Parts: sequence; structure tokens; C-alpha cells
Amino acid sequence: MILILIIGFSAMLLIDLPRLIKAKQLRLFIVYGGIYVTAFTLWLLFLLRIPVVSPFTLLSDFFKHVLNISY
Amino acid sequence: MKLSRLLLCIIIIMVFLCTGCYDIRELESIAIVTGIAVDSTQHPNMIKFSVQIAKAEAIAGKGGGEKGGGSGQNSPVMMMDATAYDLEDALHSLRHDNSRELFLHHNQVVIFGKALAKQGIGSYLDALLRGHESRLEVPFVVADGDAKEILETELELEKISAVGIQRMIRHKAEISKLFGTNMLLFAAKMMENTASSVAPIIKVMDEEKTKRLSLTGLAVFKDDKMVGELNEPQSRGFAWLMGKIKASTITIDTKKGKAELEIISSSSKIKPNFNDGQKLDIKAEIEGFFDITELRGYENIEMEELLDLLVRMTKQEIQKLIMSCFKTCQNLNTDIFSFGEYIRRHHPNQWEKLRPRWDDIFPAINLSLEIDVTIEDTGKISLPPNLKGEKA
Amino acid sequence: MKTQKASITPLQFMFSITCFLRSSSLLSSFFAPISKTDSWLVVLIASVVCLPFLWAFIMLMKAFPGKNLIEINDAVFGRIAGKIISAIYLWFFLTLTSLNLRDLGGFVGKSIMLKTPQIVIITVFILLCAWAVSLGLDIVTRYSVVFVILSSIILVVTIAATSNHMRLSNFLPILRQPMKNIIQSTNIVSTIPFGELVIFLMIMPQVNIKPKKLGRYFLPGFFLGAFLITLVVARDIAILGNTITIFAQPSFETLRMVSFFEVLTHMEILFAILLIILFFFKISLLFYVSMLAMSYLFRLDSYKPLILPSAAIIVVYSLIIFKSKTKHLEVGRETAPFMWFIFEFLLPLLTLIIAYIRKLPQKEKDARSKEAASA
Repeated sequence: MILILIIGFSAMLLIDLPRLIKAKQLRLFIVYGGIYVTAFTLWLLFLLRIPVVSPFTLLSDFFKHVLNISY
Repeated sequence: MKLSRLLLCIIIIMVFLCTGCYDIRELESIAIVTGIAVDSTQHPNMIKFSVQIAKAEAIAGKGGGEKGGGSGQNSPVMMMDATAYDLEDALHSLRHDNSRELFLHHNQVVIFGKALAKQGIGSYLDALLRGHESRLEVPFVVADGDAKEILETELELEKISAVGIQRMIRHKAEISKLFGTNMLLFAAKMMENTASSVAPIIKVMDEEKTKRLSLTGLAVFKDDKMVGELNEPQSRGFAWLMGKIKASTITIDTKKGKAELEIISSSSKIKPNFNDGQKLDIKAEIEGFFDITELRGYENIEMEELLDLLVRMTKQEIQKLIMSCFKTCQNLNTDIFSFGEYIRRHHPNQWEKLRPRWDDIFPAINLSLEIDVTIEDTGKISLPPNLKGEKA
Repeated sequence: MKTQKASITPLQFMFSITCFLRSSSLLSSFFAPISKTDSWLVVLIASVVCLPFLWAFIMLMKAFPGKNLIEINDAVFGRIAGKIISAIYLWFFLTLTSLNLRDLGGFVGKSIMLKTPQIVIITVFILLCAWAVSLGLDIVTRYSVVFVILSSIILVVTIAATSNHMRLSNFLPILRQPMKNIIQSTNIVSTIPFGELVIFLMIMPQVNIKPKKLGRYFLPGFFLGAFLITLVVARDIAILGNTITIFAQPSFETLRMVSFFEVLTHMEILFAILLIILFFFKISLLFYVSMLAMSYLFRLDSYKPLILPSAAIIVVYSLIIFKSKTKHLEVGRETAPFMWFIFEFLLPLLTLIIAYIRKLPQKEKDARSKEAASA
């Protein structure tokens, strides 16, 4: 599975890198890199079965138990 | 130019890859289930689950040289059964014995054995509703005896008996929509608090050389347990009270002669009278339109008098049928007429008061009937050939 | 920040709204078990209740023509606070995209393709949406007219085909339920299909429409969409009656009941096709809006390079967003109406109020008339 992950992300890099380099914008590079790394980390955690808490559930639990707003 | 061609090639390749190959189901790899029969076994918690599987090749390929229903090796259907604690368990254990995967989408009928119906079919219904492959409009019947036997009976006119059973039910349902029930209707009735369901009863008739299947009567359920039966006349009465009967006949038998009247249409209106929360009176206004199909033995009688007589006798007959059915249901305390549901929908305020005591109120309901019979047509001839007035 | 061409016609705009709402008619399992046979009435009530908030959207669109939501936030709240609020909106858009993607994967995965792992279904689908998004928004909105017409035809055909199973008495008794159920249901319907229209604030600059005529296209689109949802729910209630509360996909079961003369059966495939088509529209739109928000937030020239890695994030997010479907339903019914209420209704309303307090629309008008005068 991790092999497929690496292949997928490399393919992504392959497709996007030429365009990124042509654009020559540092900001774009940084943002792209940030998103790429986040995606990779999340996928890695997901595939390694490490439970990642989703912010959605966190927020909903916050609403339900802390603020006590719910039906 | 080159880029777009490359893209085109990639797209074509992708189309081939996106054919959902994970979920491939070829005809040779599935076993098409056409009928399901569930029976109780000696062990209290276990059921015997039988399926009728249609052999696609046998129906298609050997069709040329068929000899009637076929038997043994030439039969286009086969049976498999499994004993298990519940339906899903049974389905899974059938997998072990099967070289093919069971394909439930074409299931034609579900049959429950009488003994099992008396124990309660609610949990099996749950499995049938929950599974993604089951369909809601599949009719189900109660077998007078063992369900498996019904499914095993070969029908002469149909190669696959389950299809035949389903057509029989549909045929019967032409008399009254109420004579057939499917998963959805049954589940809906079960979810209503007070209504009871009915399901057709099917039995095997042993005639000289062959066995036939016959649909007679209705099984009455309270919640999910079968508590009683209605025989044919009573089930007609049931259909009359609900105003949903047609395409069958009423036989009038008097001293003066016999007659057969065909029902063209019928309707009924229910008018409850609440008597301030005491006893519940229900007045049912029934209307029936008839055609005369056969007159036998009437002599020395004028047409007008004859019609009056027939109308009177028909009203009596209908009254008899309905009251017989109603009394039986009152004894069983099963509201198959959905009176409770009618009150809940049309008179919700009254329903709030009646609902907690419904089990006491229902057996004490006073049913009064107002029946209106009209004989519309007398067929191609008006008077029988041997009736007075025609003889020279 | 590059300016976007105003390339969406008003008609496409109106039908995009309708199509967006129609895609959500497949989510009736969120509120149907609560309001049971009165669900159709709930949809109608919710469409009326939402009107003040839709009015707030329209006012915002009118006050800041040519600016999308992120730019509006910047203008109204100032650069830092505006960015924070925009970031919250970005999270909202991403979550919506992932939720819808998860719904699609769940439905296709459990009903049609049982063995295919849901990851595969979701990934293939998002790649398709990513491709559509990279080609620009008008590709997707252009189809909205066709999708609406197609889905309406199918709706009419299915109503005709199932009319023999319909029982009008299934609608009775009307409104005999505890008010709490009706209110909860109305809340759910207002936030899950209707409130999500807030995303249209993001694409306003690309719509070629005069501010005065905005209401004339927004509101009919909304009402048409709400009407279609009502029809779908009413059809399901007429056929399924009180069993509508137990089914996970009521419309699916309704279509299973269709059988023309023993030949045309298994019509539920129509539902599956329709769902995939409509969800394609909805997810592509949501994806586009998220990408746009991201590119504006980080002050990039174009959103296109970000598509692929964002798609990766969305896929994994949709896989981890819930542990189980029951949790999804529970959140959807109980807490999501309140959470989304804040994003979809309170925040825009707040934005509008502050904008008026700061007299920003006036400044806008002055700035633009100055431009027009000097040009």
C-alpha cells in the first residue's frame, strides 16, 4: 500500500513540477510544498492505521459536550 | 496535435480501466436465486433456509428438447438448503457449498413455513429488508406446512416454479389487491402500532399423479406472529369490507334457483362513531356493482322480480361474508382492516384517546353495514332461454 | 491576484443553484427519520425560513460586485481578521467537499460496487472532478442546465411509473408530531442543502450579471431547487409511507418499486446514474470553490497548480472524517445544523452588518464611479 502511495505522490510531483518551475514564484512553491507535505503525512498516517482525529468530529464533539448545543 | 492525440489514447485506456473490474459478475459465476423458503426446525432457534436456483443454461440451451416440466437432471431449477440461526448466517453457509455466488436480485417469492410464521418472522424480515440485494416488491406467502415442499413442487406450466408462484399470486391479487403482500407493505403494517397484516396461504394439493399448488385463504398476523387463518369466504369478506374486490363471483343459492354474479367493482367507506370515547361504532358503507354471468333453474319468475331477488340475496351474502370475517378477526384481536390506522389519520384527536385501550376496544367494536348492490349488466342474453315469457 | 473573466451567463448561474440543490435531494435520509411523513412540509417551511439569509447573501453580492467572499472578508474585517475568517471558510469548503465525496463513495460502494474498495471509487471520482476544475468553472456550470432538465425528466417519469404504488393517505395525519421534530428537521434542511448556497458568494465575480438583476436569477433558481426536493420527498412518502424512516436511501428504494409490465424493472439504476451525475456537479463546484479560496488566501496567481495535492488531502480527509456512517448521521442530525448555521448564516450576516456599519458599499460605489468617470 505504501508503495502505491509513493508512486502516486511521485506521479503528482512529476506532473506538477515542470509547471511550478516554469512559474518561478517562490510563494507558489512554498504553498504547494506545504500542501504536498500535509497530504503526504496524512496519507502516511492513514495507511499506517494511526488514528487521525478529524477536526470535524472534534468540532462536533466540542459543540455537543462543551457548549451543550445539540438536539 | 500530438498532445491531444496522446490525451485521447490515455482517455481510451482509462475507460477500459474504469469498468469496475473489482465487481465483475459474469453469468457463469453467479447462481440466480429465484425463490426463498424459510422453515422452522426442531431446534428452537434455528431455521432451515432453502433457495431455489435457476440454472441459466438449462433454461436457455436445452429448451428445444424439453418434455413438459422435466425431472431430475433436466430440471431447470435446483434446490439448496442450509440450517442456521438466522437468514444472513444461512446465506453465508450456502456459500460454502456453492461454486457460484448467490445472486438475489431476481428473487421472485419468499415463502415462510406455517410453524415458523407462528413463531414470528420479524427478525427474518429485518434481514430481508437490510440486505442490499433484496427487493421490496417481492411477494411473500405462508405455506400450509413446510415451505420447502412448496418450492420443490414442479409446476406444469412454468419451468421455474418460483416464477409460477409469483404469477399465481399476482393473478390472485387481481381479485383483490389485499390478497398479495410484499415486503414493503408488510413492513409498513408492522410499523403501524395497531394494524395487523395478512399474507396469502399456499398449499400443496395432492392429485392423482401430480401435485398442484393452490392459494387459498389468508394468514392473519399480529405484529410478526401468525395467529390465525381466514378461509376463502372470509378472505372475500375482508376484501369486501375494505372495498377492494373485483373480478370474482358471488354464488347465490335460493330455493328458486341459483345464480352466479360477477363483481365488477366495489367500494367501501368507513364512518366511525365515537360515542364520546365509549364503545366504538363503525358503520361501513359498501357498494358493489355486478354482472350476471349464470342463471340456473329459475322458472316462473319475471325479470324485475328476479333482479330484486338477486339484489336481496347478494346483500345477504356479502353481509354474511363480512361479518364472518370480522367476527374471526375480533376473536383474534387483529385489526387487519386498519381501522386504527384510519382513525389515526383522519381523526387524530380521537385516536389519542383510543390508542392506549385499542386492544380492548377492537374486540368490542360494533360493526354495522349498509350495503348497496347494483346489477349492471346481464351479459349477452337477458332472460335464460327457459324462462317464462319467451315460450310461445 | 488576477481578475477573473465574467464568463458565466445568468441562466447558467440560476441553473447551477438549482442543480446544486437537486444534488442534495439524495440526502433525505438526514431529516426523513425525524420529521417522518411531514418531511415534504418541512422542506417547504425551510425554504421560507431561509429567505432572510438568502437575502443577506444577495445583499452581500450586490454590495461588493466583482468581489468574491475572500475579498469581501478582507475589505470588511481588515487584512488580518479577514484572512482568519477566510481561513475558517476554507476549512468549511474543504470539509463540505470531503463529506459529499464520502457520501458518494459510501453509496456507490455499498449499493453498486460492493467489492471495490471505497478508496478507489473516491480517488477516481476526485480525479475526474480535478480535471474538470482545472479546465475552469464554466465547464461545470455549463452542464448545470442539462443536468437539471435531465433529472427533472427522470423525476417526472418515476412519479408516473410509481403512481400505482402511491397512497395519498400516507401523508396523513399532517403535523401531529412534537414541534421539536419539525424544528429540528427544518434546521437540518436549511443548513444542509440550502445554507450551502453560501459558496456561490465565492464565484460571483465570474458571473456576468448586473447587480440589480441578481435577485431575479438567484431566487427562482433557489425556489426551483427547493420545489424539486419537495417533489422527491413527497414522492418517497407517498410510496414508502411510514417506512421512509428506516431506509438509508429512500429514493433508491422507491425506484426499486418501479416495474413496467414485468419488463422494465430494476429502475434503481437510474437513481444511481443520476446521483453520480449530480454529485459530480456538486463536488466539482465545491472543489473549485475550495481551490479558489486557497489561491486567494495565499495570494497566488492561479489555483491550478494546487489541484492535485489538494485532491490528495480531500481524499484522505473524506476517509478519516468519520469513523462510521452512524456517527455521520448522528452528527448530521444533532450538531451539524448548529455548526453550519454559524458558517452559512451568522458569519455572512455579520459580514453584511459590519460592512454597512463601515459604510463600505458606499465607498465601493464611489470608487467605481470614480473609475468609470476617469475611464
